[in-house]
Amino acid sequence: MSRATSPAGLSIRPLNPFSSRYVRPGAIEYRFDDGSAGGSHEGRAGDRAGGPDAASIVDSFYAAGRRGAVVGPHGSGKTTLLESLAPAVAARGDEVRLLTLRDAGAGFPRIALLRLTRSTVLFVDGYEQLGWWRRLRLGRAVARAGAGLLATAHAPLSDITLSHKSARLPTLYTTATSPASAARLVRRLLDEHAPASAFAIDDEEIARRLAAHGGDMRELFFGLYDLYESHRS
Amino acid sequence: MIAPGITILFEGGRRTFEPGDLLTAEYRIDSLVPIEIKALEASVMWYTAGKGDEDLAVHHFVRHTPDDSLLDFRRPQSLRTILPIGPLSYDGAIVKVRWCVRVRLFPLRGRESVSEELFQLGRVPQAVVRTPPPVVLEDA
Repeated sequence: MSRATSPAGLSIRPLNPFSSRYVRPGAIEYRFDDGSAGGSHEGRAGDRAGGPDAASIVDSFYAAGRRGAVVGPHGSGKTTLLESLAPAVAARGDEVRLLTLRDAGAGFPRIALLRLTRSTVLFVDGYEQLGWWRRLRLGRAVARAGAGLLATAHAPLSDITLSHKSARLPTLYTTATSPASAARLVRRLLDEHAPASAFAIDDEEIARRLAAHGGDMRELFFGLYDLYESHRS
Repeated sequence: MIAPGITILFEGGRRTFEPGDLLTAEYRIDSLVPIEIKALEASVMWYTAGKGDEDLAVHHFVRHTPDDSLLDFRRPQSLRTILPIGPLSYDGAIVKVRWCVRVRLFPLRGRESVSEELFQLGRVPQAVVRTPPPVVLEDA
């Protein structure tokens, strides 16, 4: 970001490195911890970047008949990972359509409006927001159209006993944060967006704050945003 | 291949404006090799940044395409607009309002390039975050 100083001495300060624009999904890529995603389909993850692990998840998605779920707690990077997987799916010739669901399924459109076709892969972020009836309807619509479905959820979607099998999705990857991945991500944000800042925070403090937020990276960033603002005042 | 650069210059180097002022800027494409251009867009706009959702609005917009027979992409382009009454630039703790001239270049092949130069509209003072002193509970 540019830094401009006016003749009158007014200055425009660089943005806070923990601003939404820098930490939102899509602004940073998902990064896996030391390739542990491997072929196990279980892995630790926290900060972002693509790479071969994203490719292996997409391989698993296609091997499962273009169905699957990314599972993990709040703020563990599910949405970010979903964004990172989109290019790899598009590269296979499928059209990715992202459906972001809010509380209680707000944002869920009429099925017909989704215009599902055989080449559609529907990314549903916040699948657990849907009640069983909507899951069933969505699952059947996807199956009928021959489309793909990749969802994020806080808990596995493969063992829901009460819903139809079309609503169940195999877990492709489990996201989790770690103090090491949080520290790496914080360092990267500071290096990229506040290289001249005197703001400093050690790994121990980052780990303490992450633990205080139950491993929620989003909450960690909110807290660091405030800390950064108070520091530069 | 090296991506083309974009240079934006404010007339007279001025970066602080008041509502109703005339903003004049020049922008040009810097490229070592000839490039085929699909479009070149310049905007005078504001956006918010901070902890929450972001907002933006475009105050002035111009788009050039190769169909513009009078346009020579090798020469600097100029931009002039009267600035509105608001929102004024603001450097708050929770939200910041930024004004900028943003230029986007869409080459026929390859990725788009974006360049942005900030300026200030109005003179709203920066916010100062004051941490309250810790509350000390006295023994009863």
